[in-house]
Amino acid sequence: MSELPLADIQGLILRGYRYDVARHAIVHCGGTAAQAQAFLAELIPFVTTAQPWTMKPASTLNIGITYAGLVALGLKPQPNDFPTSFVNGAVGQAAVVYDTGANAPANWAGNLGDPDTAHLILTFYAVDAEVLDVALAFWTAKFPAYGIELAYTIQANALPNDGVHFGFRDSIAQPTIAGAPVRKHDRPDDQPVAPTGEFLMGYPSQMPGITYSVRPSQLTLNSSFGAFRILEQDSAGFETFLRTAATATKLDPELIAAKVCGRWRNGSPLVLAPESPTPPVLDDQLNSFTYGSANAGAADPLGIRCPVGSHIRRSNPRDQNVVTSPTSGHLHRIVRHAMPYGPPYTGSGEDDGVERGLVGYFINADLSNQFEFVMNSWINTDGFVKSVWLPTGGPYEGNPTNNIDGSDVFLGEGPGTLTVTQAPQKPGGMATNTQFSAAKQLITTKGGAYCLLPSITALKYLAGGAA
Amino acid sequence: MANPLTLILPIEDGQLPALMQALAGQQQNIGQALIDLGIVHYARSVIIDSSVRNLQPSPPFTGGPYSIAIITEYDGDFNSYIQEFVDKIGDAFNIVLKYVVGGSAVLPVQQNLAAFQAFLAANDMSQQKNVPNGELFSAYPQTVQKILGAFPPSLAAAG
Repeated sequence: MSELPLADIQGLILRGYRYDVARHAIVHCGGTAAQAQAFLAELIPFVTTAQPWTMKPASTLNIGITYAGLVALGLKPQPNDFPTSFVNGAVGQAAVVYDTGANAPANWAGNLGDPDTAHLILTFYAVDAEVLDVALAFWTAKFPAYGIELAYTIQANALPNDGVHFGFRDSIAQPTIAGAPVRKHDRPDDQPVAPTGEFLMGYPSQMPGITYSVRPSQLTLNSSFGAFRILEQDSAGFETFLRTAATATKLDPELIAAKVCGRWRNGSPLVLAPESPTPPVLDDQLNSFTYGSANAGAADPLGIRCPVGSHIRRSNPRDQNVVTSPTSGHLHRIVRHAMPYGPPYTGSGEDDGVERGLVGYFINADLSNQFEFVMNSWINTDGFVKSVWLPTGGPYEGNPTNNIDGSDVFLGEGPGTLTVTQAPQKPGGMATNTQFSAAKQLITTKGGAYCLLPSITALKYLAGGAA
Repeated sequence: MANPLTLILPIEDGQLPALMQALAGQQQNIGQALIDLGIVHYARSVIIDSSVRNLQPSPPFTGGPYSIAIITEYDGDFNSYIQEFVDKIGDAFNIVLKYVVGGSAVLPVQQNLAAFQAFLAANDMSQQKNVPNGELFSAYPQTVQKILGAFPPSLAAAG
């Protein structure tokens, strides 16, 4: 397999940087196109690529550019030069991903609800906040000369043990991408390796003979797309939900938490550890599971161990039989590079008035078929699981399509529904379901932007004569 | 809640008999593909003769202009499933679109996904905004899979 040209690829696409802090600076190019190009030209030498480090830098820099940003840089796109989702932007596509109601762009921070606000997103990761301050000061000092306006910044801070708010360990599962360097903490899953072209434009995608591309062609090779998201988490609401769900279902609150997620808070997947989080599943086994389908010996086809509607099973169905084909669970992968913002919640259900959540990128070569698809077809609906009477040939224990209701408790728009499926009480009986609906939505979109994550070559092209 | 698709595709002059034959040859493939896709509630096609007041074609099928209407009710977002839709049923469209005005420009559909998507959208009467063509009455909100899941096999066979 030929090596990818890592020096031309932004590191954020292929690498999960491990830093304690990050800051995203969303800027608006308020001057001329020539000024915007000149600013971009200054940034380019500082952009962190996917090349391996001999020494970990004190900070990194990566750049995302919205469609409005490309226009501000002087690009004159023709119809069909870019995919419709990217052109419409996160604001235009809000209804597609259920950014409605409380999630609607009208409620977003930093005037991100205006599609012309975000032009460039400068993402800095750093060893500590002091380094971040120095980096931001360095660049913001240059803003006036180039007509650059700072629209919004948000800082992320790592929690211990890859933790995120709601108390779970995150960043466990990422797709394996053909040709990409092996991750430092590789936890291979039993899913097919994703074709390079599902995460980098200009390479063969999963569709025979198809390569995702944009025009002008200089922007295609080694570039990708990212859905930048600011997701506010209601930690008090989650703790309250666990308590009330535990009372109603007579299940342990930690088990409820695991059933909502699909993993215990320590990361052990329910499929491998259905009864208890301890002893914890070994680190390199955390992804070694399938859900199974109608085949004999399948791991958990009815969701008795890991609910069919749990967060990780909805967002990555693996080998679960879903519409529109038995392999659909492998065809809509995303890479998540995001970190928590805000201090940890230490209460037990009372609102502390502190904003906290998750901020970062959901990365893919095709926004419509990957990020938008997951939000639209799996997270927010319950009719996508194929009806299969199991075990085949009867006597039937159940049908997975009956074991999921409503939307994802974590990420769904509106209050989500937890459906816990329990094994038949006696041989020959059916699995039974206990449903519990959340009182309210637990994660609210507070900002979004669809960005091109250009290759270094593409960045230089966009900087025009200034580069 | 299902969504309507009402494709009206003009047929090239003189190509109606060939189209009808091609369609007959694809019925089984299309049927299996629709079962595998799992999101189509109902699907049918209707041949229309624009030259007669009640639009009903009659032999020897040398008049016209003719169109073929493809009418379905389906679950999910129109654009979301396009990749797998084309993978499952693309070959049937490749055969039929040869006889449709503007169809050859998007062939093979697997290699012209965005153009095929645009072609479908442009010819879907249910997406027309000038008149209220997008309304759909549905007797139930459930998806195809949820309905199939309501009937264990011993009952479904009787239905």
